[in-house]
Amino acid sequence: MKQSLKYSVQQQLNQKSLSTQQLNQLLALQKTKTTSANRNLPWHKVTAVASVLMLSFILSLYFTDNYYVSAQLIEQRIAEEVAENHLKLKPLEVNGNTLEGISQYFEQLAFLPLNPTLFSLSKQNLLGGRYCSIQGITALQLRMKSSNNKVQTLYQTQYDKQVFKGFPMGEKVTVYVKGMRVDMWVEKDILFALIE
Amino acid sequence: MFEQDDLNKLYRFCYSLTLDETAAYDLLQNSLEKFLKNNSEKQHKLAFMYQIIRHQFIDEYRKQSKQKSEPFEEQEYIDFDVKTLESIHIDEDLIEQVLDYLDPLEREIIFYWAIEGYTTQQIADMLSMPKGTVLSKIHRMRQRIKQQFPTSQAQPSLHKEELKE
Repeated sequence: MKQSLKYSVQQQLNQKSLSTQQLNQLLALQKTKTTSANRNLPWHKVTAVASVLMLSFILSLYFTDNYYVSAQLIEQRIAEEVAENHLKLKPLEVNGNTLEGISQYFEQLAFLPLNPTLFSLSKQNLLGGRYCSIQGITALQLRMKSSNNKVQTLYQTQYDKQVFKGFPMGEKVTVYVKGMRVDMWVEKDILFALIE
Repeated sequence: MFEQDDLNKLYRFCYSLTLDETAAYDLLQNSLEKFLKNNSEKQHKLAFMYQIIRHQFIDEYRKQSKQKSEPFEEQEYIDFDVKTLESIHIDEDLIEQVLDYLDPLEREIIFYWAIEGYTTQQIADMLSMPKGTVLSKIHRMRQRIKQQFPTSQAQPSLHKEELKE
């Protein structure tokens, strides 16, 4: 009896099927592989993800720290620096009791040392001065002895808008560092810091 | 996971390639292991398994016997599609011999056509061949069956309608 090729092929191939044993073996194979695949995590992927997370964490710490440093108020940073210098009491490079008298020595400065209006130098017992720096900018420090025999230091440097960005203008700022009072202000484009 | 029906379908595909039940099972098992090793989360699992079986078969079996490659003019047979095979009628006792007479690639085409109901384009996609090449193979297969099994009949009346895909 003649049949279409298609029908004959279907009949012929559909007769073929896996035995129960073969079927069970293949089902078991899938189950085993699936279970072991679940058990054996793709460690290279896990490691990669863990590395990325770790890197993100480290970077976040780094940037948080940097952010903290950059977000830390500029006046706080200046105060900490000048306080540090003040405590060292390095030897004076030039002695003199007037600003005009010692200014000639500081010819390397990129600014003219000023007699500030918010702090009267003339009323102080000026001892002398030395070069220093504030936030990397060359500065002048003037050492004085107050009436109650306390040593004071007045720092002055040019007001660099980039370096001292964010510094509150037009007001005197007071910060306490290690128990010392630091007054800072900007006057005629000069940044002053006074500590005692 | 492949269920019982899919496994049997895959087994039939393996059988259509190997024409041997033991070899078909081995082929299926090896292919399944390969599938589970790397690709168990594929979306079109069945189609992907066909590809794996095919490649596995080529690796394991076909390279053992040299395939004859026959030159052919694709354009000459462009009017034929897989449905032209439906015009062939054979004695029911001869089907085993017909399958045995065909080469594995022809049986693969037969399987996709008869069991899966694929169109010529779908078969070409599965075989990663140009449609023209598949058409040529279908044409040649039809001719060979008619020559080898003279009692088979081609019914031209069916043929014209089946040309429209």
